[in-house]
Amino acid sequence: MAEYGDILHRLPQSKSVDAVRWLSSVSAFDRFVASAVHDPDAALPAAASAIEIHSLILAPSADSSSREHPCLHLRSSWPSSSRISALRSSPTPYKHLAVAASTLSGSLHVLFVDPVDGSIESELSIPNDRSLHAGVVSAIDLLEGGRECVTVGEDGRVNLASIGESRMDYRRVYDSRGLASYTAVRWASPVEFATGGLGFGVQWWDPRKPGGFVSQFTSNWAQGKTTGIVHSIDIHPSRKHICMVGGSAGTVFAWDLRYPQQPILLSGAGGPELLSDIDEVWQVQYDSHTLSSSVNSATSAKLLPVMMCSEEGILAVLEQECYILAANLPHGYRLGYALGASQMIEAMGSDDFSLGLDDYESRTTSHTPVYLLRVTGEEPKRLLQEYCAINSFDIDPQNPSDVVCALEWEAVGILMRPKAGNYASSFGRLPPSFH
Amino acid sequence: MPGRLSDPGADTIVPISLESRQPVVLSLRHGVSAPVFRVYISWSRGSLLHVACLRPPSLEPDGAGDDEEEGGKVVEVRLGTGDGGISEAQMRRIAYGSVPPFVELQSWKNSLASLSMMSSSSFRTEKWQYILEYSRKVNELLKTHQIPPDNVIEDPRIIVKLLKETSSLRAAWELMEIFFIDKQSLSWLPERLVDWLEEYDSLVTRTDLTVYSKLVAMQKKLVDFKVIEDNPDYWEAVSSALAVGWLDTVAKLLRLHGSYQLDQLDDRETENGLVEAVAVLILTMPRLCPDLSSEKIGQCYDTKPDFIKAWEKWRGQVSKLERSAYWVQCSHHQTREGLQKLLKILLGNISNLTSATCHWMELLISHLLYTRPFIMGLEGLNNLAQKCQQLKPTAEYNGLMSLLMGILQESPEAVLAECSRTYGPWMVAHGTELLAAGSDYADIQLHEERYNLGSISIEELHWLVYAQVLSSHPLTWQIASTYLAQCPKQGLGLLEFLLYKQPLQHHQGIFKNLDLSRSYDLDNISASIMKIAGMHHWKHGRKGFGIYWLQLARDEVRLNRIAQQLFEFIGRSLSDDSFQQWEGLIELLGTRVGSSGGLEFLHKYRDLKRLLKQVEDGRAVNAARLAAESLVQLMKSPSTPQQFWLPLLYDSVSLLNWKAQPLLRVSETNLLLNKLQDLSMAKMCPGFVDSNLPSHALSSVRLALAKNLGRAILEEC
Repeated sequence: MAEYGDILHRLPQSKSVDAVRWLSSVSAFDRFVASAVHDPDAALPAAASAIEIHSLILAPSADSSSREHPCLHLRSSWPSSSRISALRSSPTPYKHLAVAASTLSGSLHVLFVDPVDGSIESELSIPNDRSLHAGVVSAIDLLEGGRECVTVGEDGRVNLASIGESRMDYRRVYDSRGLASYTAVRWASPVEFATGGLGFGVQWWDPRKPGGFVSQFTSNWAQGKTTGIVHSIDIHPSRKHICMVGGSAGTVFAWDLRYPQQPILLSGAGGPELLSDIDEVWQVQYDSHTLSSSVNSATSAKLLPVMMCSEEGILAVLEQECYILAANLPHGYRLGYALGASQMIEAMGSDDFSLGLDDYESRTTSHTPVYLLRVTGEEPKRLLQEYCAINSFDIDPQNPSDVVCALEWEAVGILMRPKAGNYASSFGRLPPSFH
Repeated sequence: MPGRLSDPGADTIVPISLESRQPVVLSLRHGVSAPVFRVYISWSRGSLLHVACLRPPSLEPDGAGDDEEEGGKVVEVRLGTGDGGISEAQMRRIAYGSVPPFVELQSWKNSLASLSMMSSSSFRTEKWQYILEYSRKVNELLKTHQIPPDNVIEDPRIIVKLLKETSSLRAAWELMEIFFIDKQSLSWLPERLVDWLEEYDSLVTRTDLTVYSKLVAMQKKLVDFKVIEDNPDYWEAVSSALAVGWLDTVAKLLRLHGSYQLDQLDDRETENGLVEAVAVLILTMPRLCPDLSSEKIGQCYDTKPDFIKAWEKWRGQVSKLERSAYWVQCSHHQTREGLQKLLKILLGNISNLTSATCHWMELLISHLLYTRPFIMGLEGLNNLAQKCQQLKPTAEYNGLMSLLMGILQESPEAVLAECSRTYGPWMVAHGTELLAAGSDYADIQLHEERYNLGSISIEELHWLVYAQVLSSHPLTWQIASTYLAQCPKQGLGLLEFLLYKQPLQHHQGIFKNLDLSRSYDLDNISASIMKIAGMHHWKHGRKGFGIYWLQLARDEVRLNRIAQQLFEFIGRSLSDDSFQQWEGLIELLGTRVGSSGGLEFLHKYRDLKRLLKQVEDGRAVNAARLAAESLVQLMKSPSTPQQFWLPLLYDSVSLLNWKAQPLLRVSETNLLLNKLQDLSMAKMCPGFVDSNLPSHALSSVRLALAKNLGRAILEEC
């Protein structure tokens, strides 16, 4: 049920697809997809889980329509002793691609994949002897360049693994001894990262500083109305101070380090009800393909469009609501600003505005009542509404119009959106060398 | 085998197939050394069997070498994976794909039931559209993936497409669609059956010869033939293909005839003319079809009168050619014989039709094409089919053919039984929709509540059965809920059971489970899932996660119980410097979602600590006042554990000694003194947890309290 001329190709895999990732390729013709698969029917438990490297080939469609039909060809497969819990990938300086995967039993593996033929050249592991994590590694993130990998677990440990060419070592950054559990992690810069956990808590870490996290986003920001678990965090390299967070109860919000008390809600938790409140947002990722609707007037404060996938089978692009601040300025004329919410909070500090229009929505913050006019509540651009859950997705960094997703019904979905104009790339993820 | 009936056909209700398989012997490698004392067998998911082999309990537990010997082992045995027709993965793909059409159809039906406009005519046509759409979507799903042809240029010598494992399931579905759903096109039923046979001829029998297998064999030999028309096999193949109406195959074969070659040696003009004349007659055969598509060979008519007119005219032409004088002049014996045979088939000569076809189904089709193209009604078709069966009896049991006979006999019971026997629960659960649409009788049969089934209908029974099959696989259990939700009587009960039984080790699984139970408003189930998850995490040392789930489940009892354990774990570690470790957990306890039971204390304690820190820093009097209030609150609260009383008071000594004014009133101070008294009493009791405070702590608290009391009395006077 793709809209806007987007086409989803469902490629059945005959086993559960838990996670998918694009691997950046060297040539324009060969594109690789890494998938974490699980087959409960496998004859031996040791063969039940694997990481598969596929090459994506666009074959001419069988019927006469001009569209190309993508096919996946298995290039190589690496058996895993336990089911994969998280999958990440990155190009490395040593000519090959790194694929990092963690398992439900607590091990971490890094595979080096040949960028030309998709074969697995070597593998580094930290075994599941409970030293790295006791039990499930819930999330990992691989630093661009593939030198370092951060892992977090339900056991409350945070580890940094440094990946060399032939060996992998790790060090413990923090251990909460199970008092807190971490369920999401994302690098913000080569030295800082953010984690997410229970009660919509988000923590900011800088391993150079001793002790635990640097700052924490308090979990009862929703005035205790709702709570949930963070499933995914994304941070745009050009806006490191904003964590985009997706979690339980159909919640997507942005936490701006500069205004830590006030999250910007994109969906759920008392914000716009774009998703069902029993939905789980499994993943969020900035979408460099969708142009921000107010690209010309966009101030730096406006959030970039973000793509999310959910348990109820929704793949959508969310945009921040556009607020207009109606202010009666001292000189007696009325001015409408198109502002982002964080600028709004800045403007709030000045006392000299009052409500000038009838249709408004009031929000109370700690000090001053703020009147916001919701002018363009951006409708989420629903790309897919599947009958089954979408467990994971990835936007191709090299061709941001293409999205690969892991569908619950044992299939990989490839969504090919029509290629847009050139300026789309201005919001794109920056190349690795940029930061 | 004991109890086996000598004559299974006589008085059994469900026919037992005689070719029932021999018992399968599986050897187990359990690795437990003899003697094996006990064997337990239990079903696991799906077709997995758990076999536990135990050794006798050792009498001397500290005997030598007991380390090497295992006490027993549990072995998993996977039993046979179906009948090889459709792989399990493919069947799962079909199961996933059939959910959307099923849901759409059911939600339409449910919305209709609430409107109760069952009798209006607009409803009937709408109903057909919905069911037809449903059937088409499912049919589309059953298609096996077509691989695009390798060579673009068509080889003239390829006369039949080799069918790539055509699914018998799809053949059965199409049969049901033709007879039950496509009511409007009943008049072109013969043509639809011709098309059906063309696609699925290889499936009508597994052992006997068919036209299809004949043509495949012929195609293999084609390369060896020098002069093709000299070969009797060639003519036999042409007449067989013609008899079952595969006109394009006939055309391809005729084109291979020598008369179409350019380098002819002899004078074969008459022969060429005759071949051409027969070919033209075959190509202009009138056919009654709905879509006048160009792909079909022959002249298509979409109304009956037009068709009858053309049919008569065409028959006239055929018999005229048959009686023509040219045959005498045709010198090529085989060509003459062969062509005349073809004309006889076209004219519907029964003996020719019988000899040209192999299976009775093929014979039936040839009759429909050439002798009785105007046949109407299932009764006539059934009689014809039985006659054909008598002419071409077959010993083999074929599910597809039995299904066809059930349909022709208008017996929904037989159709249902065949669907279930040959095609399994998926087919029955989805095919009932088609069956019910076929006739009112079937509709009533399927939806009537039956006492002997526990007051559920046959339709519900089969949905329940199918849901059981789905829930036995770890990847499909979630879609079982869709079917259970449609069962009015026993669905929800089983759904609760299913959700309750799912493994809850990983939080993704818990969320998927919760999502389902919430979407069916099963609040008690979601609460128990959260409780189970909470206890699981707690026991595995993930305290935060455990508390999170128990809080959401509002499980005061368990929270209070684990609170005691948690406080012991905390001990004095909740001092100022290691506070950060607790931060995440305590934040969780501050939310107003759910309840935190006795753990709420921790949150308040943390707040007090923060205030005290501000007091220490010498900030605002306000903070001190708030801290004092919070201290009294904490000491009053019954949820504050006794072992924290003294540490709390000791931490707040600076408050009690506040210089500017006494922060506690007389009554409050008295309360605190009473508590201190209680504490010294409690010291006598067994099970008292002593806090690791310096020895002078108690006395300094006492002194501070006494000072405060004195000041407060003076103040209040």
